[in-house]
Amino acid sequence: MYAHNNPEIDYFKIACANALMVKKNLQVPVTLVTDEGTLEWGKKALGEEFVNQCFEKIVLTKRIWSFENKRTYSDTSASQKTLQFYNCNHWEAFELSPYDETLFIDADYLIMSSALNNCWGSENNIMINHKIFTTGSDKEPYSKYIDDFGIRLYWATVIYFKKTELARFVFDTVKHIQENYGYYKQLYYFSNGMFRNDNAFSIAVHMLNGFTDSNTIIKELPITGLLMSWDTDDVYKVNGINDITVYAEKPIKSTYLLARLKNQDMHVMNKWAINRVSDRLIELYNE
Amino acid sequence: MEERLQQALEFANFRQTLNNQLQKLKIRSEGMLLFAEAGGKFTISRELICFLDYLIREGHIDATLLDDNNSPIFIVDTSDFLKKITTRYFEVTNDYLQESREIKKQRHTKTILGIKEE
Repeated sequence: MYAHNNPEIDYFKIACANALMVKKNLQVPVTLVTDEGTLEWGKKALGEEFVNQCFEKIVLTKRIWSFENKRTYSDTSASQKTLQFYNCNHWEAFELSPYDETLFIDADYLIMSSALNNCWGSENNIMINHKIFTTGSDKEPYSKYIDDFGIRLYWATVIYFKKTELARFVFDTVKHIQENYGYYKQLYYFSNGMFRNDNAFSIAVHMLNGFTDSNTIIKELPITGLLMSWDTDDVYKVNGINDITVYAEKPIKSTYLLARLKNQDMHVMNKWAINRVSDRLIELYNE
Repeated sequence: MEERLQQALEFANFRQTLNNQLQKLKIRSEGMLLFAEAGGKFTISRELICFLDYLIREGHIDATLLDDNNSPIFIVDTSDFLKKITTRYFEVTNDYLQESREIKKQRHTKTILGIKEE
């Protein structure tokens, strides 16, 4: 798991809450990759003992202050803010992971089931998903594309990998894409200016699958799809262990449908919403 | 707003919530029917259960099966594998049945979501 705070969003606290959720549901140790400033803040705010309880290992990386990546964060449709999004070091996960088999999980992908335990012992070297479904829609899991005419979008939210040559190729390719992002942005024709690991991994998967839109070499995770709660949604209430009710925005702005999710992992993109319930999550999962 | 239209919109919201909850339950159940064995990924289906039963009846103690990714996976003990997947199949389908019945019998948006008045 990665956590690099910015002036408004406490990714560290989200990572702590999610680490406890991982321990509860997957029963595996968690390693956190963070920077000195974020760790210092986290220890001050939450206590060193608690932080050490959440993570088996904490890996410190040097924060590159010259990396500028502005992202518009939403706290529902009613509020938006442009903040720094520090995500330039995800390709390092391959080297930094102390494990033979690793699940790379975004801090905001809340683990509320044991579904990802299906990954362990897989014969695949690396797995990443492109199918998603959303909290407020009754659509079946579907694929998105990085552009209307572009390649399939893979979500770097959850990645399973083994320390093998093929997995290393993927992470090395992502590093290369990130270093030459301007070129790949034009080549693969996507408009979003900000650096997104989703785009970089999608291109890497496309390249390593022999520049084809197939799953021949890099397979999907053994789950039906990633459940997405967009940043226009909000969390209504944490009802209990693995049980959350969210406000899912309908196609008409600022109108909502309530959805209750039980025993389903969920990518909560409204970071403020998770920050608002992170104390409750810590209280529940820290028992 | 006219009262009849208000009622219709409330009903539409109720139906939307109901369908959404049923859909989430369906996807969760489908996810739980994914089974990892010997490094492969298998969707537990009636077809897989019947095929394994056939293999066992034909005396195949072990077998190579193609998983969901069409990768060949060697199953060391077909009987044990069949037992594990049928157990999971019934656990998942029974929970699916109970929870979907619970949702379908609700008549209000709040009760579908288990929201209690505070």
